[in-house]
Amino acid sequence: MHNREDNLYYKKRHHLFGKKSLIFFSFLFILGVIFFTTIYDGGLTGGVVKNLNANNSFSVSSETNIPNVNLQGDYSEIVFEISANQNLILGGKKISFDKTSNSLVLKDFSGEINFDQSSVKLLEGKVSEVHINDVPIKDEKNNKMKISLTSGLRYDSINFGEIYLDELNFVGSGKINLGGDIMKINHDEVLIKNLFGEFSIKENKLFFDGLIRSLSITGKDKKISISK
Amino acid sequence: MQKRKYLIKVRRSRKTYFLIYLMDFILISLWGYLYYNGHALNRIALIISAIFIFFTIKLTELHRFKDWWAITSNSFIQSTGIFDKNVREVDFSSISDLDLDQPFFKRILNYGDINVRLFLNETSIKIKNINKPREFIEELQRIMSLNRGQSLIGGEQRKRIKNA
Repeated sequence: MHNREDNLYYKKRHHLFGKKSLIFFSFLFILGVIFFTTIYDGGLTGGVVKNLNANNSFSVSSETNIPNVNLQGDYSEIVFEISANQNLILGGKKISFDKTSNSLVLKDFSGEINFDQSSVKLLEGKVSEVHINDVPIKDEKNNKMKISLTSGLRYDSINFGEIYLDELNFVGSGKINLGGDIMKINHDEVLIKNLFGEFSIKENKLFFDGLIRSLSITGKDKKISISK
Repeated sequence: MQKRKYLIKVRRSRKTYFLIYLMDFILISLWGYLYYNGHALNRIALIISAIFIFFTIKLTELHRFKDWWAITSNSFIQSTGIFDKNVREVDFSSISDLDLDQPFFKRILNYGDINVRLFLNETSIKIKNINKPREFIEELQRIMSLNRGQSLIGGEQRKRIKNA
């Protein structure tokens, strides 16, 4: 049986637990509100894309050499043009490209891609559907299939369609058209933040057309930094 | 009224609110991350977070301010409450022993509780979550033994005067 002191102690502990719980659940509630209003609304990148508009971003189109690019995320469609005698592994099976020019389309790709000007060095992830030379390949149970490379994959072009990138940092040469002002770069370091737009690689050039939030170019005789 | 001279005065350590500060830190870091990465910051979520951070800091400071414990040259004082103040002063001669309650987590952060037990049959006084409790006990014991020593000397002198 509890005596008076024990009861008082219990009440006090119980009361304190109530306060702590209230603070903790308030914290969880706020995290939930942040998640649903800021992060979940369109996904982690979707929130940014939705927020990029004429007031807080610049319209940019660029044509530069191809840097080493590492991309990680979800992409609705990636189209590759691939030269002959190359392989990739799809759902545990080896697939060879025998024609002189092959097309490879990855639908709903989620994973990591790393490429430079000559080849795709890394392609690791899952796809819901693959089209090889217009022939669709799907999993029998409609599950996502694993895709990977055996070695580097030489390409003629890659088209990512509209994508979002947090940051793109490279040393490059070419032209950057920033809202009508054309800037020429020659082995300058370029840092672009929050890019959203058409992203493609063809004829040994990287093309981007879309919106960005900030751009900085650092070269031997120039230093430009623009942000909104 | 003459102001009391406290040899030591302590309040709850801010380490007590470590988890609350951690929550505030997580919220601030999350907002910083979202802002830095160019996310659309929802105004309502931002306001709720700011209110939460403001109130937790304000409440922890009020909670900390509510109670204090002090040592004078001959007594131990406990004060609780802000508006309904309850001050209790205990003479050193009433204190039987002191014990330290410091679980693992509190030991790592070097804060804890001290129970001041009394000779009289009543509840002990709990000094809650103070910083460096071991040092506090040592200091309290030192002052108590000093006080007892002085009382003994005082008693001897009174005896001598009486005999003369």
